[in-house]
Amino acid sequence: MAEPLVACDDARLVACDDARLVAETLGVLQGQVGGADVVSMIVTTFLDGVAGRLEALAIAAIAGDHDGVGRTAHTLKSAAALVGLHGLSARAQALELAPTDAGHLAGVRAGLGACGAPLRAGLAGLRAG
Amino acid sequence: MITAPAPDRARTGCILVVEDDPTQRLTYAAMAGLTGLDVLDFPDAESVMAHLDTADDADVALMVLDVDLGAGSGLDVLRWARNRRELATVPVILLTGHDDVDARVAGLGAGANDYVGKPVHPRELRARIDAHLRMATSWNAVLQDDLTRRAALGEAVAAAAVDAGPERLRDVIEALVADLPGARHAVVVPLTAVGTDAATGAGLDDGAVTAAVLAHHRQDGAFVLAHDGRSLACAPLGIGDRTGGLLLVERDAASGVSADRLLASCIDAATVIAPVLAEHVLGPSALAVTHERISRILDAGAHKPVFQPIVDLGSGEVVGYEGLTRFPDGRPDLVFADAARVGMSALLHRATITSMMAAAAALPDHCYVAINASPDVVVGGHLTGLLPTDRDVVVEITEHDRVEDYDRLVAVVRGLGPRVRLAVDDAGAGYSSLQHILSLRPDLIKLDRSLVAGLHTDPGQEAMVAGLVHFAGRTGARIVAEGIEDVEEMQAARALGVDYGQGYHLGRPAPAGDTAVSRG
Repeated sequence: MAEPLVACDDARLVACDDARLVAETLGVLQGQVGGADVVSMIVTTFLDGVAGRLEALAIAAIAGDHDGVGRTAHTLKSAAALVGLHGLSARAQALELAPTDAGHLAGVRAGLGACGAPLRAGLAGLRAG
Repeated sequence: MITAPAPDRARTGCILVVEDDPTQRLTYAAMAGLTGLDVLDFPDAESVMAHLDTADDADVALMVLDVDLGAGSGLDVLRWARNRRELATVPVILLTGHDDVDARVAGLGAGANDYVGKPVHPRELRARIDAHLRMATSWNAVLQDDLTRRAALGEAVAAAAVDAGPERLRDVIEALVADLPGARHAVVVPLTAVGTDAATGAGLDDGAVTAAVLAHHRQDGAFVLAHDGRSLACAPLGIGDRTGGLLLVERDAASGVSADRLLASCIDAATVIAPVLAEHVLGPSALAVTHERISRILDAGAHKPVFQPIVDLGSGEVVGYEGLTRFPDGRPDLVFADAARVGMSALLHRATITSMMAAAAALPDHCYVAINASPDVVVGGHLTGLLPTDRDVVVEITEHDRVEDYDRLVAVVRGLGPRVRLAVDDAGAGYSSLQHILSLRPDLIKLDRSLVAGLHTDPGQEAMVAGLVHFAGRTGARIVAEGIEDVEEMQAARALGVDYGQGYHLGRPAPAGDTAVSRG
């Protein structure tokens, strides 16, 4: 029986990304994509996809679809790095390389669940800054 | 000076972003949008191919393509695009999380221009997008420049044809071509002058240039000749399916324009000016005059056969005669070249050989008669039925002529009759002496005048002649030394074992009844 899906604001989640590092990355990104509004759209798009990624991971894990787990982790690895979630990106890469590893799976799910706070903080810093 | 209007070098077209992950797709699309071009983004292979299939005018400037699309592969899109004419040269940047060597090689092999591993650093991707657009724009600018310059040259040449008149047209065209970037000097050389006027006309009166131009003419291509620290670009002037002449352009070394680049300009210019030259200088009117002149020679039987004796250097006896043709006006080689230009080569050959064989009846029966024939004439069957069966005949194939099929040539000569033998003429004067001789396995090898002149004074010439004598001895061939002009040359040839001799010292060409021989 697979673990139940976790909510993004689950108090048990362990954050793996630092808001300052996220803010720094988003600052660089802003210069490359044309402004804070676009960065905001990118972050929002990422956050909108969190639930879908969690669900995809869960479905694949329940089905024993290790390739599916790997594919989701592969995509997450790049998207997370783009918005400055380098800790989550590293966890996703570990899961991509070892999709049967329950520990890596749990780490990614926890990281996904905890990514909202640093992203929002990073965005706020960008707007303020 | 030919001036070209400035081309419009503004970037046009759109950038396609194909990425299945929404976050990344939005990021790359936003990034690409900062180039000022429109951006279209697609989540999978199917949607982008469907769009390109149905778009009326898919003007794509660049593609950013993820390899691992959820549905389908970016490599499939890439291969599909490369097979479409309008997308075959569009810059494609592949993105992938599989950043190993095999994946990169596969991507580049499928037709990608660049490869970026994920996670993508935004600054790097942006820099690569800019670099590829810059390169594409630069190439387009070069192409646009070339096309514009070509059009300007075409207009200038067409105007010159009207304003300058046929007499001055060649001069005006040469001046226009000499104005091209990187050019210092330009010359238009009609085909009949190739190998002679070509070198002097280009200001490079040198045997190497003449040889290279001759080689070019036979190969029917364009080339760059490096000579004495200078570069000369040479391109054929095509008139219909033949070469009417050559365009020679000397490079201005100080211009900074490379020889290859000048050659491209030369080829381009030759393409543009050839039709105008064809019409006014090299073309129908000039050809008509040549055609009429050759026809007059044939109709009047104005070609006269003469015979030069070939002497056994051991016994002093005449063993044969080389048949030659004299025309009332013009050198024989130029008359034959003119006949070839107007498609009358075979007719002229047949006419001259027919009258030669008729006149040869007055020569002693035991002497052979040698005739000159090009490989084309022989292989084309134009000697068939012309040669006597009651006399030995030697067909001389000059070493200057390119032979396409040695086996066929030898077979055709052997098939002309049991008393027909084969000779290689001018041995030692051409470019592929030994190969030519080895391939033809001739009955006689005629040493070129350049090997015989001063034979008694040059150890190198002596060594080469001795080598050919040795070769002939091993293959059963006889050696003929051409161009013997004095007793010393004859004695030197005899001492080296040369079988036969021919030249002014032994007898000048004369009509069949007037041949006289000096036995040295």
